[in-house]
Amino acid sequence: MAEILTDLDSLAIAILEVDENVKDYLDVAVILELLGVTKDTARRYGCDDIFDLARTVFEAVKYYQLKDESSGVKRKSRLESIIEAIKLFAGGVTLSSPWLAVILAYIIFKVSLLPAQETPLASTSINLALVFSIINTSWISPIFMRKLFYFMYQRNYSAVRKILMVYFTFGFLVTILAAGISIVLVRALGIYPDWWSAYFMTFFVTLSLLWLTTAPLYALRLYIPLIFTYISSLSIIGVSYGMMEMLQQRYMAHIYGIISGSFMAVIYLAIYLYLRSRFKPQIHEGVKVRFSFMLYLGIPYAIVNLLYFIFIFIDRLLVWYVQAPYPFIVDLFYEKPASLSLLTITVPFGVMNYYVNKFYRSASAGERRFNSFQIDEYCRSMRRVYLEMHASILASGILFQIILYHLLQGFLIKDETWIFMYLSLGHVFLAMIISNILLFLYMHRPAKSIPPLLLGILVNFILGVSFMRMWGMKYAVSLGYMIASIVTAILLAAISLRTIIKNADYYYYSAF
Amino acid sequence: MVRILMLCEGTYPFYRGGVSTWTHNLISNLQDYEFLILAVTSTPFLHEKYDLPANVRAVLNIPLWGTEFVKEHISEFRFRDYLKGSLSTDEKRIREDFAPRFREFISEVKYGCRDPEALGEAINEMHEFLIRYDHRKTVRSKAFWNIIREEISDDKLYQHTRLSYTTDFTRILSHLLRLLSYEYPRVDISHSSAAALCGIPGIILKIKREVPYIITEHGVYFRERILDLPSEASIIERMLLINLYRAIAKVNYYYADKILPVCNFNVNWEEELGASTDKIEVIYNGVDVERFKPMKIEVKDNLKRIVVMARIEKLKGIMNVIEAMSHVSEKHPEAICEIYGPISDKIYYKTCLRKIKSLNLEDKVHFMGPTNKPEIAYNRAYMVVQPSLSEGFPFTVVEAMACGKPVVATDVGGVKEAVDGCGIIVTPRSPIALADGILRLLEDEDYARILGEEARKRVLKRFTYDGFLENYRRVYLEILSEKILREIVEWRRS
Repeated sequence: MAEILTDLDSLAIAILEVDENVKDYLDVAVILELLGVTKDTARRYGCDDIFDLARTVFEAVKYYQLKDESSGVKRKSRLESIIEAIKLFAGGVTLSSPWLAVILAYIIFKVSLLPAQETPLASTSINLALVFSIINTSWISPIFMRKLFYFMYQRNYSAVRKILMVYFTFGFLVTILAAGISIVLVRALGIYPDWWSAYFMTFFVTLSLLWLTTAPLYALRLYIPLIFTYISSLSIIGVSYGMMEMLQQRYMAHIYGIISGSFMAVIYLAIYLYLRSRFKPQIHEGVKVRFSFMLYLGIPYAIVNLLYFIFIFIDRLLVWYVQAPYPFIVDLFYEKPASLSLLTITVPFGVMNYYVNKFYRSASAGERRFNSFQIDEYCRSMRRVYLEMHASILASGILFQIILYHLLQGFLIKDETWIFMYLSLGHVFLAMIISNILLFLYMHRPAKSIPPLLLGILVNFILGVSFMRMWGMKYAVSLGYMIASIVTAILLAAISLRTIIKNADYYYYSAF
Repeated sequence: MVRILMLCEGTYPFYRGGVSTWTHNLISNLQDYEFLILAVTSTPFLHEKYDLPANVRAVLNIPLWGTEFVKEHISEFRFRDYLKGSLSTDEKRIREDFAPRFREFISEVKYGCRDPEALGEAINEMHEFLIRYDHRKTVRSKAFWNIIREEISDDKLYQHTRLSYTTDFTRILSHLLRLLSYEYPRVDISHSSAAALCGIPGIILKIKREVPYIITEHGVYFRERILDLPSEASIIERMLLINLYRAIAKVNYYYADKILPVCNFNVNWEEELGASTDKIEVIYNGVDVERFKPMKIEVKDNLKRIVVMARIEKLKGIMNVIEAMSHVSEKHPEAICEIYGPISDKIYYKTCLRKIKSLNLEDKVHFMGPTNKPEIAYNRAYMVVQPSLSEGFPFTVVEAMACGKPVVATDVGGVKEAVDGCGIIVTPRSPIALADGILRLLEDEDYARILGEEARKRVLKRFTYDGFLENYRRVYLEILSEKILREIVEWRRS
């Protein structure tokens, strides 16, 4: 054996193959002897004896151990695993941070991203602006963010800047166009007063900008700056409140707050990119960003995002739809339990984030653990993680819902409780829907989630309308949302199990 | 004018190094030939590192990584062309038209190419498919993966590879197949600078259009890939990769009309891999003896400079020269070592710096960075050291010899053939032997001077530009006339 190991590097590698955790030269000496290295061999390497050779080889072993560490071979301790789980859970909670921050800020400080309106008509303009701004921007960001992440990974910062510039310009133009069309429509129909249109347009544009500017923070997983953006928005609103007495002026405080939030996000992105390019130098230059190719791959992602947001807002739009005297009027009775129900998503989102990451890790770790003839076992192991994920989301979600129910009992009257319960349970299943969508996105198969989402929207709409007509009560719409969530989650899970999980080896290979 | 397709991999014109120097010298000095350069690289975002000679008509960079779509980096490639190919590619077509060829390809590759002709045909037919249909859809298809499953995961030997390894292997393969998605230009000769992946367009042109194919082999591709094999892979996993490289090398040798190693050292390997002896002819590299000549360079100190000209990476054995310097400086404090060259492996560079510090050699060993004036660096030297663990026929040794400098070099590749008594050859991977060689020259200045003079004479006799270029002109003419002759015979027959 020793005869074919003709250099120190080969010896070092051979040592690590026997024991990758050798600690000192004496360990090395033992293994050298096992490999058949003799005193004569040691002399051929210019060493006095086997121990002298072991000291020299150990230097090379340290080099390779260092290299392995840098490539992520090092195993995690239990404490590190717990810290990572907590981080992932917190990361998942921040996924729902816009809602969480907004609701918590309102409960604790009585400050919200949107102004609390005393009249339903004013509230309608702002809430419709909120819903349509989210739907308006939901499809734009996935097209660009996919590629942004791709170039970021390549450390191609000039391409990242180019994509961001085009993204912001495109997003802004689409927003202005959508706002223009809405105003023309509203005016042509002559249904809402002029101040209403002004409210709608201002909030629609500013909120769209906020979603557009925070989307790259989501995409780059910069959760802390993301939370900071919302906190700074809310802080500015809170501070401005103190200075503005009139209600109309207070409305401006919210505009300032939302705009400054967007501004903070853009500044953070600029600084982040500058620092990255300064300290992690660009590897590639002279890039050509082909937007046609980017669009082609991005369209399914855009559709998924758009459908998802339509799905989650259908119940509100149905409740607000009253036909006369205005087509939409916000129902403040529905809003309170609906907003409180959003608190439910935090825990299942945390659990979901932890498990989705566990799934990603298991996909790659499992491949290292199983041999090629054990593909079926590999797929079975992925199935176990997948089922565990769904069981945990469901259990944690329902448990948290019960806790919230008891905590919020004093705030809710009878029908509000039903709305809260239906929507909360729907949100638990929403976490399951998102977990499946994320798996499809991870495996670069976004189109697979489009049919279930379409069906979900249809069920949500039909049941919402039918239940309202049947029982004539608003809470019935929330029941429609809950059923639609359950149906969509089950359908997505069935598709996942039949495709991605059943052939995890193939999907994992072809994803990258 | 004769058009030559120069096939390069990770070298000219985007990276500097020995092979790039060879390519540049050859093209610049054969102005009566037109060259098209097909460069196989790892990324599309590269800048040319050489001023291209006027006879280079075009450079086609084929990046195997760095874009989501094949040809996405080419401005002239229109999206609608891509869309056309993509829309006509579906699982059924892949299963029927591509999969059988891919199965043949894999079954040849996994056993290191038992039948080069079958492998060549499979490659050509896969190329025919990939130029018409979407590469991305093809390599991501179920049919593609199923063949891997059946040929690797169900193979009695290879089923013991880790699944992660099979996946990585398939991903690498899917990227390598990008090379087959390009149309290759119409040329009279293809000339590959290695019996490597970049030779595949040459093989395809040979099969499709009977374009004569030549290989110049600097380091033996197969041998160098073995040195690069991942240390964490198991024996069977290594075997899979070794067989892939073996298959690539063998199919190159099989279709080549001429194999032109740069030294005799390569010949043994080529023959071992099935290259027919009558195709092989050694053509040594030549250097510009007007540029690389003895010069008087003023140095203000009395230090004896030991110059190393190499990229900073493991294969160049920089660590050995550092260790050797610890022995040398004990006896000769006036000796310092200057290492010229870019840093290719940052981890290795840092390890070298740590070693220098631990041996207290901070004022004895200096990293000088890359230089555009190697002739100045050589002429500042008392001697030139080449400590590599693997080489083909290194320019650095011949250039140093042309500058009249004594050389201490490791016995790797064709180094011994280059030096041939006009320098000191030492055992590779042995700092002690290297130190002994250096000490011998430091202690005997007359001997060092004589070796330098002899080295210059040897270069003038064996390794000049003129001889080198004349050989290539002759080979080009020979294979072109053979082709014309064949065509005449066929024409007469018909």
